[in-house]
Amino acid sequence: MFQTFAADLLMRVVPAVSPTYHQGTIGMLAATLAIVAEEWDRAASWRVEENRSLRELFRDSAPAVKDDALRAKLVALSGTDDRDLRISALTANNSALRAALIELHCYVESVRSEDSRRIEAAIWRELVESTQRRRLSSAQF
Amino acid sequence: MASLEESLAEYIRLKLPDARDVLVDQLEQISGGASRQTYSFRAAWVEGGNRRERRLILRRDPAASLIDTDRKIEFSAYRAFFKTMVPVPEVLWLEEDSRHLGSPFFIAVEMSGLQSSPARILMEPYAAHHQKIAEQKWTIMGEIAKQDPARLGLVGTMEWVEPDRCWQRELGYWENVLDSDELIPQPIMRAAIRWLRANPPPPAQKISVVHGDFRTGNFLYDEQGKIHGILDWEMAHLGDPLEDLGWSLNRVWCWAHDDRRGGLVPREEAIRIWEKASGLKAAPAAIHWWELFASVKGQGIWVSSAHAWETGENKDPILVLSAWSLMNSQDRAALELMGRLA
Repeated sequence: MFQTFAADLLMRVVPAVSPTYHQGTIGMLAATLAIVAEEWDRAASWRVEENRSLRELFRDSAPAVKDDALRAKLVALSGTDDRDLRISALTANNSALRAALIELHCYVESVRSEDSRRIEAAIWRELVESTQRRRLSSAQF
Repeated sequence: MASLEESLAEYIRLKLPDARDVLVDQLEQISGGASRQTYSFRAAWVEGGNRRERRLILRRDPAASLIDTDRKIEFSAYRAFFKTMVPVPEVLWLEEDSRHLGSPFFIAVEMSGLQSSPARILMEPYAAHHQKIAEQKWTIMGEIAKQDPARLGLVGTMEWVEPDRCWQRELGYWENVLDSDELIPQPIMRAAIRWLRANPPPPAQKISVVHGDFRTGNFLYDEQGKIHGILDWEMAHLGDPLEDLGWSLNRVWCWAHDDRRGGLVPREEAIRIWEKASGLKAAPAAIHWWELFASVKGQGIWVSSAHAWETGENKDPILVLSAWSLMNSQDRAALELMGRLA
């Protein structure tokens, strides 16, 4: 549906509009609609998948974390879930998990141990995966 | 309430006291970067019994923009480079008093009949001239690097920085932008910032004017592949000339969806042209640092544009489109530079 709207804007509306500036604005709205079309189907899916992945990472990492406050935070977050599937709720959960991921990343970078290197490698894998989940088909990179 | 045309005519009367019958017409808003409202218009007047006419550009501050910048710096950069080998439009008047047009602005001479679109540069007849455009693009960038900021009269207008402090100032600035404007946590950029702080670049070889947003999309070119004007100097500052080179190599400017930087030539070719023109070296470790920094800076811009849109400061669709379409690519660019993208 959104793809159709975007195509309509580009093919039928833009040529009929002047001045050029407004053509550009409609072109931007069409491009945004095309992104919405792509996100519409997958938005909840990748958030749920990522939140689950982060919780697993925290669950696996927590026993090796010597910082009590951080370990408690990781344990608490690994026990949360995504009952509310609205995008706003999933995004809020995702933000809380990603904020803790930054803390965990800082922590393992500062600690010399095999566990820390293992966790760090897992974090980098997760970060790469996070960009695959969000990647748009129109992205230049 | 006076129309924008009437207000512009009144302003031109103030700036040209000998002009009579000043008329402004053919006013049209155009795309001119996301940080200022840009209009094209025709000004006509009678002076000394002769009718004069010029096509001009108005750059006016919006309420909030993609990039918060000082219009005086942008105006001064245009004026300073106008008589150098760096092609720029001629600027006429800077007005910082909001009473004339509702917000500060400046007026420049229009360069007509040219393209700036990064999408169009991929099409014929422009596509046949990519090597020629690239030679000029990175040669002009090298020429900016070669110029002495003091001789240009820009020291003072632009804040001085010592060669060994360039990286800290710029990184600190964009980290602060992320701190204040991010709507969601940015674990990849935070990791990049920690790496950049732990692995500082060598001191700048010299202090140069840094354009700040020199990329395909911010210069005017014609059908023969000649570059006529470098635009959008709103982020210009003094600093390490490698900053401009690193920014121009940013993966998010690979408009052709391949490895050609700026949609034009491979990375190594761009560096070769720049080194030859500037007389400076882009040592691998140093340019790598500035390329990764460019990812942090880019993400700072996309994050702040998303913030401006989300908070209602500015509802221009370019803010949400640029943020949505570029943030993830910028993260991937940083991952690649940190050797994490297989």
